[in-house]
Amino acid sequence: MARTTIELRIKRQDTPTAAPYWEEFSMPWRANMNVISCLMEIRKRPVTRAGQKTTPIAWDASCLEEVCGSCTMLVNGKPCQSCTQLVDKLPDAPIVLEPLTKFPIVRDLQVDRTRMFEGLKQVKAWIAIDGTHDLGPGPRVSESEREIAYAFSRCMTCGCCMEVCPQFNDRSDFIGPAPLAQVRLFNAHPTGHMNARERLESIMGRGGLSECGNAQNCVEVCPKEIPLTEAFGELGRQTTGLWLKKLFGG
Amino acid sequence: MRVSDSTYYTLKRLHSLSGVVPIGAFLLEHFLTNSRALQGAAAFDRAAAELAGLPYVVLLEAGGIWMPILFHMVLGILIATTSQANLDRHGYARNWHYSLQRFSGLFLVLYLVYHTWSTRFSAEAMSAPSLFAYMREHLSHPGVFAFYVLGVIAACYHFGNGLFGFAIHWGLVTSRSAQRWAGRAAMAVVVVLSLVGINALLAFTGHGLNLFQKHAPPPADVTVMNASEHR
Repeated sequence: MARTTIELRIKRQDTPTAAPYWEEFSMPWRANMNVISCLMEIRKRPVTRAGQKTTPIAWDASCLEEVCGSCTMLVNGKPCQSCTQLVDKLPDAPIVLEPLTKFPIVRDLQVDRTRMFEGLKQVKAWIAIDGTHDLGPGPRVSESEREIAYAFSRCMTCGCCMEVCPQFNDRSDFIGPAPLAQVRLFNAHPTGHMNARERLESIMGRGGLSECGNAQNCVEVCPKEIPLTEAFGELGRQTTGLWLKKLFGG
Repeated sequence: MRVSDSTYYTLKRLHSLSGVVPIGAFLLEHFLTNSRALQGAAAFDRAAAELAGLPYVVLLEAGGIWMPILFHMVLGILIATTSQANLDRHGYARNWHYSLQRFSGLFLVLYLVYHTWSTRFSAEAMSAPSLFAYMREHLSHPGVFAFYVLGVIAACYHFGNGLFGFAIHWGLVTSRSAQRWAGRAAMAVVVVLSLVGINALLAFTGHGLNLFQKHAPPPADVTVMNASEHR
């Protein structure tokens, strides 16, 4: 049965510390709508299903083509990018929108993902090429490694993996899956490899790789199908090697 | 207690390692010895006496069993407190294993306290002339038997599934397909070990199945038993 109206149930929160509440919205169905275009409709006329005037909903969005990650939220309980959630592909029931639960809420569906970006800084998720002189061209990368590196480079720090990770929460210091995978990416790069040890050491302490509990939810929900759990295995091997090297020398 | 980053990593590595060696190795030895019960009371009592009479036995027990288990237990409880299970929202198979690993571990803390007290340190166990007879009596209560079955399954699961975690933590398996096979192999270990463990429990109640044995239990056992009973 095709929809004639689109119903939404949205979890709202006015300030970072205010109590959350639910509001319901309804709008006429149009072809090819996605969750963001629904939110835009509400913004045009912020009136609840019951006819009560309300404030427009706050949410983050930038690219609208699933490469920036900023519009990530829970749609019907699953973390995903709201820009690519097509209404016609969702079950014919009220669409439930909630902010991500693992990050501090700014307002409504907007969250502060600073903790993830801090993680990227901690693991030095970049390649150090700045110098006072021309370093010349970098070494070539084999096609097979390029292919794997490309998979890891697609990470858009959307936070889906952090959202579903049982080890990423307020009680643990776990840095989370996304920054760990970037260690795998940058350590495999011929130039990035020169800082490989630093990156490995940055994930060998509290909150590092060893907090991973192998629930492997991250790899189930990653919208970019990044082989996160393969990265953890490889990093496990690399950190084990470094650990033994530090214990026994060599 | 605050520890340095390198100590922290070492502790986590030792936690992972201790679950396989010596604790996992001890589990296998323990099941093998208990399976002597399939060959009769005398065979089991002799095996138990043989173990108790090993040279350096106190050192072996303390360093190879008690201390590693205590270490694994304390760190395991601390690790469990940092988790936030989310099976209700994300019911993927490996997420179930993640939660079951923690749940079985916590259950084993209870089980091992009861198990070691009742079979090792309680007055009845200490004074029992035959450990087999004591175990038969102990396991004759259906509640105790059921608790032991649960304990055996929890231990086998925690060990088997722990091997999967071990394989990834130490980087023994990295590719998706290798991890999938490691997961299957881990479950095979769980099933086979559980059956061995439960069969040993059944042996104490006289219902064990003598499987995969080359020779029937030596008849000498029976005569030794009879002789001692006549005396």
